[in-house]
Amino acid sequence: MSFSRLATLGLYLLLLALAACKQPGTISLEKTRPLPESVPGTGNFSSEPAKPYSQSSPNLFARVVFEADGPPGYRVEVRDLMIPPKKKAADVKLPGAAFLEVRYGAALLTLDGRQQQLAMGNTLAISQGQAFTVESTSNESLTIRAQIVRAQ
Amino acid sequence: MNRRTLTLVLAAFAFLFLLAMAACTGCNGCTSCNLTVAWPTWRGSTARSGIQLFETTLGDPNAVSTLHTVWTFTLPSAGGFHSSPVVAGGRVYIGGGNGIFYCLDGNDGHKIWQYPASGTLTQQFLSNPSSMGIASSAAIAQIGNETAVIFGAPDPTYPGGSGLGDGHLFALKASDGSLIWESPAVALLTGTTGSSTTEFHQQIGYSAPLVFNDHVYIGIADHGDDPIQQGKVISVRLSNGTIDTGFNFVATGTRGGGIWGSAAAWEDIFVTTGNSKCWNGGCQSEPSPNHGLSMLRLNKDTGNVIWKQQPVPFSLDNDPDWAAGPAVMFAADCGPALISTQKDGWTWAVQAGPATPGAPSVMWSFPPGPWTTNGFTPADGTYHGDDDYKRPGATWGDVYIGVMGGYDTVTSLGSGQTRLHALNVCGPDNQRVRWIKDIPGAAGGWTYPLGPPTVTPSGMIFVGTSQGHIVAIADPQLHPSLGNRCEDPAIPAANCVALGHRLVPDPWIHDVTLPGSPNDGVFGEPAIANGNLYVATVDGNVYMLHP
Repeated sequence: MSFSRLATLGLYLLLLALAACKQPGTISLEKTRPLPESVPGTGNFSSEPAKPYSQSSPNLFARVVFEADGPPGYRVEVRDLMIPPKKKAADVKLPGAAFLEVRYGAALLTLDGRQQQLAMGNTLAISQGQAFTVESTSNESLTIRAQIVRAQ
Repeated sequence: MNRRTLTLVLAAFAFLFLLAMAACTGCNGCTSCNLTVAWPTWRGSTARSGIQLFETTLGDPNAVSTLHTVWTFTLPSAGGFHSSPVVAGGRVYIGGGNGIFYCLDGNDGHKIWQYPASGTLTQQFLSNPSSMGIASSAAIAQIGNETAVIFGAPDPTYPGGSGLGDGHLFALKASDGSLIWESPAVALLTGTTGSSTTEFHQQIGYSAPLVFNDHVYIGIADHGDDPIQQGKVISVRLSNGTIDTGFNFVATGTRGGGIWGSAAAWEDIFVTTGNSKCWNGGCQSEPSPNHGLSMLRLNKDTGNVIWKQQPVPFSLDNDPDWAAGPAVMFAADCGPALISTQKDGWTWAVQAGPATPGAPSVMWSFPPGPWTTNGFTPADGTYHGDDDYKRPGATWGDVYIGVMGGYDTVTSLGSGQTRLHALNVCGPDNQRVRWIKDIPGAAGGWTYPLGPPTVTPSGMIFVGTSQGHIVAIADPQLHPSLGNRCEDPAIPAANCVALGHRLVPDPWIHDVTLPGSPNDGVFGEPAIANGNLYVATVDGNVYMLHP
């Protein structure tokens, strides 16, 4: 028997044995593959949040996460604001006096003509009726938590 | 080709062929194979990766759709199960909250033996389920010629002990449950006065023994922070159970840094540690050293700290114990990694090697942020408390699957507890999320809505829930997903891209309701062995499920 024939036979037997191993009950080292990117606009949205953000003005999305009566004559509300990366939301008005806290991302906030850079953890007080402009300055969406007190 | 060469070539091929056939038959039901397809320890391996490397029909969505309960074993007395089953040699081994360790027949669930034959392994300080009987999952090991099962438990009858239930390690013969050795006390319980700072309130709790080389390592924590104890890892010799005093790791100089989870191994020992600031009834200034709230690499022989990742500084310690324990991942594209989720919901990945002293090489945090390398700061507005993210995740190729806070953790601290995230470990931050799944039958509350997930080689994930469900989730590589959703679960899919996020798949699932649902929850992990699932419940049932 020539070497090449012998080698072919040997390889065949090996492949046969390994193929037999590829049945249930055998070890498998399948590599995880990246999943294809989901295409926006195709619908088929299968799961939605219980308290979703909704768009309230250009580049501004908001959701109410808590709402209750406060001291007599007042109502308290916790609202999350979200601004897309590198986008600006102008003339934002909240329904009362508010305490803002940056929860994620970075912001440039303009209030009464003055600009302030805000990073995660920074806070700011807003008077009732005061309008402001906020810009997301990072590559991530900006999340601001607003704790609002308003007269009923 | 001469005769001698021909003979050598033939012999080589014959050897390779026999090797391949042996590997093959070894996976298909012979006696020795039962060990190789077993689930011999917590998370399935010393890497704590939560993966069963042998494929069975549990990786087939069609077969999984027929999963049903084949047998049930019920504890004869109260206590439930807060440990998880391990499986080897066709037998199931598990310790009960009633203080009795059981060996069950894997085929029909009947009891083969119990330990002890009479009496119970219990303790006098009852704080939470970690202190009820045996909460530590077991490990199968070889001691000489004997297959042994090793677990941690309190022993109120140990000669010279406190009589209150100091923690010990036990090694039993897997064949008949007879004692091979019992270690000296590794966790001291010298009193039962809550908040006492003069008594020892140490316990093994949920920590499962790690059998690595010729030693057994066990983590020590406390009784419900009442008060926190000096966390430590004890190493005992596998051969005889004596404590190896050459290994010494204590997490802090005073108290704190409890090892609530289980150590993992790869070249060295990896652990995560608990809080070190406050406890029921008191607080302390920062201890020195302070290895609390850290993921650490320890020298396997000495216990010396090689490096630690401590993202939450002492000043921000509001009890975000790092209780999940680490998982070692052998990612093909980014090397051995160590991954775990801290109790505040943040997930961290660091390079597992090399064993160079100093700062670890941080790969990423999730969610991402500028604090990845240097940890959090008091000014960054993040909160780090007891948000109940305590479960280890599973590793599958380059994917990590676990319970974590996700993007939403910065605004809704607890919203991720009923959800699984799958993360692309080797990808960039903006492609970290592979998929997200909200799991049915997982109620919120103080306890653990989801157990630790386990996974098959093909990407079928199993997880138990607090309402007594076993849920199978198919990675979209295995089965088409149900649709899309936003990677930030708080954002509606329609607004996802506009807000700078990606749409990710919402995977296919199959939901199995166990007979005791909704009150009989699953606390531990589904063990995947021999084509079956083995799960234990808080009302004291062990179930075997089969397609």
